Amino acid sequence: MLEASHISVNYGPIKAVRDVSIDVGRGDVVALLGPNGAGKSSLLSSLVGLVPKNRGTVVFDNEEVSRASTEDLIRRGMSVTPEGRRIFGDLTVGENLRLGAAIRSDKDGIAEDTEKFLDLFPILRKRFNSAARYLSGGEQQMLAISRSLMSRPKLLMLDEPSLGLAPRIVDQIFEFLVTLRQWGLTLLIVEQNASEVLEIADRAYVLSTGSIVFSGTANELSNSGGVMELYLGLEGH
Amino acid sequence: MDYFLQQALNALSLGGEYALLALGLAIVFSVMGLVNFAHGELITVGGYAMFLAVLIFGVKDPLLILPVGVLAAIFFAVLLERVAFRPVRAAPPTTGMLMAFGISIILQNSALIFVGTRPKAVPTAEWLMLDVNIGSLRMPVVQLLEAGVTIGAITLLVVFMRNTTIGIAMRAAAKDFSTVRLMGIRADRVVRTAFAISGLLAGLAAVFIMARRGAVDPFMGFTPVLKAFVAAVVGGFGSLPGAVIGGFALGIAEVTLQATLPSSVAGFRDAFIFSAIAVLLLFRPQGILGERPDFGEKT
Repeated sequence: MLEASHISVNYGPIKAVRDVSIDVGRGDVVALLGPNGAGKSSLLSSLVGLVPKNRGTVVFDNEEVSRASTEDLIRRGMSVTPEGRRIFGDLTVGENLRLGAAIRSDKDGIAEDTEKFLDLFPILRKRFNSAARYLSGGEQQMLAISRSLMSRPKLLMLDEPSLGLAPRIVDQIFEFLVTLRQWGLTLLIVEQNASEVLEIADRAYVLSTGSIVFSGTANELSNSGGVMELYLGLEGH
Repeated sequence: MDYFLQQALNALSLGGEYALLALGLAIVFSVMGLVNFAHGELITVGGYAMFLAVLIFGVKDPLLILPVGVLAAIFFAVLLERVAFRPVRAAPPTTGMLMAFGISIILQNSALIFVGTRPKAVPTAEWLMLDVNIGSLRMPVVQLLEAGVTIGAITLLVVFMRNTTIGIAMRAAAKDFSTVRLMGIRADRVVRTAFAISGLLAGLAAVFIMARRGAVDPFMGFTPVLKAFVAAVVGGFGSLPGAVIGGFALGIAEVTLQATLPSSVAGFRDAFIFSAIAVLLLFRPQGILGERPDFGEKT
């Protein structure tokens, strides 16, 4: 589904991502882990074309898209739930969902999908016509994920979906990600919160100071105490 | 009473003109952070297009000439975006502003060189200059139309911004353009639409300015857009409802002072208005509806 090879991202003299290659297969749930400042978000932004890559190639859905614009990548079936949710606070919940479906023109399908997410998250139905900034953090995250699904993506990339949320809400979010997996979606999840995401991921990459220091199955990572302790601040099994 | 209604219509039509222009400035500023000082040249371009249309078609057909002014302003706004502002979109805001100044100077001087320094007469259609009698009231058609067209244009704009995907995207882009792009909405399309709307509003204003002046000259856009800029600042720069409120407030203030000041000080009308604005901005630097700049962390 997504093969990124030898990606480098520089911000001026700062090398945020150095020669990173990752591979996400169709239907996979892949975790991209690492401490704060490891370059996870930079890598994600470069994959979706928001920041320029200095080197590297990206193949998405069997097509080379290294130089495609963000808009094109979204139209080809990528979608991003950005860090900090980035919902449109002045817009209503309904308008947020509508913009999520901006690349589609099948009115019936859009209405059907909207209903689907309103059923899944009843609070969004209740607040459908009020400004999205009045939602709580967790509700905003559900709106943000729903919005990024409104384009019917093939690959959903989530940047720190648990950031700043209470543990109970985090559980709820990850439960929903399991549902998405059952729907057959391919997920790339960037997280600092390794323990939760490793429960649902098939494979994982660990990034530190811009380079990949581990790649393997989620199980292998959970069992490699050194990596877990050194980079993720967790005790391995 | 009649005198009051007459002045009220004056205020409404002048305020409408400012509101149309201030909205055009605000809509471009809100989506791309550009203060378009070349906005006034859209009026001038509309005026010269009407002058050209009169040369070609004759005066007989105002219904042909008025749309020419509006369409020329729209076309020119979109053209400016494509050739001048798009290449500097990623640059710091001052670059765009200097670009706008440069364009303004180039256009004014092109008009001086190629058309001439003297104003060119564009005869106004006769029916626009008529008065209609409502009871004991005599209302100039052009003012009634201007007030009506302004209200109509603002209503349509509200409907557009609330009910179309691109309109909603423009509102979202005012706060967070990169997330709008993450929705797959093309940045170029959002910006082009903003310029087209600003051109449409400037074109409508140009038609009425031309009807009142009856002539076009290279610098005719300067004063109206200066006023519109003030109106937009008073309303809260970048806020669309603020631009409308600021425009009408300025129009009402000007007409009220004009009508009530003794003739010995009437010449200082603008000085009174600008003093009042200075005081307002001391207490509300963000304007009537503007938001305080957020210097803290942005989410």
